[in-house]
Amino acid sequence: MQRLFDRLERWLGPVLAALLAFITIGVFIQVVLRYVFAMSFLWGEELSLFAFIWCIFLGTAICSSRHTHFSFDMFYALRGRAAGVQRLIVDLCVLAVTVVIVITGWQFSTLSLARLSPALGITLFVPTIVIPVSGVLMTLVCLMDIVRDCYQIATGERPGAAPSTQPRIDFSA
Amino acid sequence: MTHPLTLLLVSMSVFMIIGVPVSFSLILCSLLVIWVADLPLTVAVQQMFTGVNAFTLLALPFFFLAGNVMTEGGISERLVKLAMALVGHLRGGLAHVNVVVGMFLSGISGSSTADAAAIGSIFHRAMVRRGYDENFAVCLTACTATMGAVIPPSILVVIYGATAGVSIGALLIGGILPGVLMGLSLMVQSHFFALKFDFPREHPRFLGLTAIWDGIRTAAWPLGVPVIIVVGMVGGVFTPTESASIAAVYSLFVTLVVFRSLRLGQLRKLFAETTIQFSQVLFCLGGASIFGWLLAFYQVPDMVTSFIVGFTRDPIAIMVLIVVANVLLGTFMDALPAILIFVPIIHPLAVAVGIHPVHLGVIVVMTQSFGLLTPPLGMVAMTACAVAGVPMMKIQMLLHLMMIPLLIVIVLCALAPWTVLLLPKLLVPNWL
Repeated sequence: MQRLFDRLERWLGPVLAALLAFITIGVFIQVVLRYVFAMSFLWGEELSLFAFIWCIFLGTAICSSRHTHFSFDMFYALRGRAAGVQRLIVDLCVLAVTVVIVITGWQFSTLSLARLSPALGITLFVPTIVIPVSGVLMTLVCLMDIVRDCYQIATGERPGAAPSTQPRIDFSA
Repeated sequence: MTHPLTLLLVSMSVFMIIGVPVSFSLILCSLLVIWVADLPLTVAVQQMFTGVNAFTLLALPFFFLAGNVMTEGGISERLVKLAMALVGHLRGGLAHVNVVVGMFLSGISGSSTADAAAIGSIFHRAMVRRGYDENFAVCLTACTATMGAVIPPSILVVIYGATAGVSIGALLIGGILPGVLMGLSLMVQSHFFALKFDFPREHPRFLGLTAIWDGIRTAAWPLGVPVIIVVGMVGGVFTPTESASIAAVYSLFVTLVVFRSLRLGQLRKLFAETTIQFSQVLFCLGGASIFGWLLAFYQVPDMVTSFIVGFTRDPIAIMVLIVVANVLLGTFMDALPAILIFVPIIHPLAVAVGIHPVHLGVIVVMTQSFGLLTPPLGMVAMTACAVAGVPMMKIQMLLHLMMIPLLIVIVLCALAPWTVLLLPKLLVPNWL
């Protein structure tokens, strides 16, 4: 299972990189065309925006599998079984969210099938379908965490990687 | 039956305290309320989608990208030479250089935490070797890094602008002067520390204009980033998103072609990591959009506004209240969730009593980045400690002392709106 998710990251990584490269080049070319050649392409803006939304929701699935979402670690001192119970509660909460995202996200994207984007006339299904896709990925990640939590509650040890002692640094603010 | 609003706020706090990630807490408490109030659940996904479906938000990945590319390409050392020529001859030269390089870096990357890591890794060892107290070096690095979120480019500013619906360009320009004031206040403080502890000069006297010119030539390429961002917007030519995209492409050009300090092969990983960094921030924003929509649905901003306006309509009193509230919030929360959750409430209040939205935005971002220093959740202080390998506990006393100048600048800017509004009024009057 863990191997599967390592592979997920290996596959998704290049996709994310390509999407970001596309956004960067897309917006840049558009600026150049507009100011140097006085040509304007609204559809470039729209495509970049779609790619951007794909980036957000796919990237967030990787954050889930790496456990790097911002959270307040008030229970960092917990060890063994107690930590397992705390994590199980947290993961059940997260699971509730991801399942709702899958279901309502699918409803939302099928509803958007009939709505067309203003510049390109593409169905809005294209940018919205990534929501349930990312929901499915996050649900899988979460289910695997729940299995680990249960194992930890039963044995007092966490399966898989050793808990990191490194202080976590994130570069968001 | 509890009021849905009580449910919303109580459940959010409970989820966050037990350790559910911020983004999921925001979504889950909103889902609970939507479910209890019998609203359609698809509203949640729809709000989340609308929250991130905005072209102005595209500035965010570009700011992340430019900062990451420049740091990875090792441009920081080039900035040191210029700073050395400018302030190295002062007593406590290395401390001043630390602040000035911090100012340059905050003009290149949009994140205080990234700045703390970069400045710490350049200066910590050098300062200790020159006889500076280790704790002083860590605290100074942490304080310097708080400028990162105030001087453009800034990630917090983009998030603030998107949450409050204020012009991101005006906010970015408005942050320049307060950011520079923060830097100057730290330099004044370093001067007094240098007198007291007899810190060394880096060279006996001022090196002269030729040295500065040399430094400028070394640092010119990296410093092009803030110039592009600011000049692009000031000229009225580009939107913030467009200048950000040019800055990102420019930083790629500089590191790949001019300095050749970055290889094409490294780009794939760099781009992927950048995407993961900003997706996390924007997923939070998506969650906060549902939350904010519910607050508006139950007319919370109106209630808070009419409640507080019942006591006073004095803009100064309200401003002081907002600063105090933000400092307290910043102590217990990270800057990003604090902005996402509370800006929808305080923004209408401030506008109702006549505080300028841009003034408010810059002050909130300043106070929140100041909050990045205060434990238990001071990301910047933690990063500075982690890079230097000094435990958080050891620097507490000194850090609280060294924060005071920053607090003075914040209060000054809060009470004197012109410090924030002067530059936007002069440079981009039609965005105000």
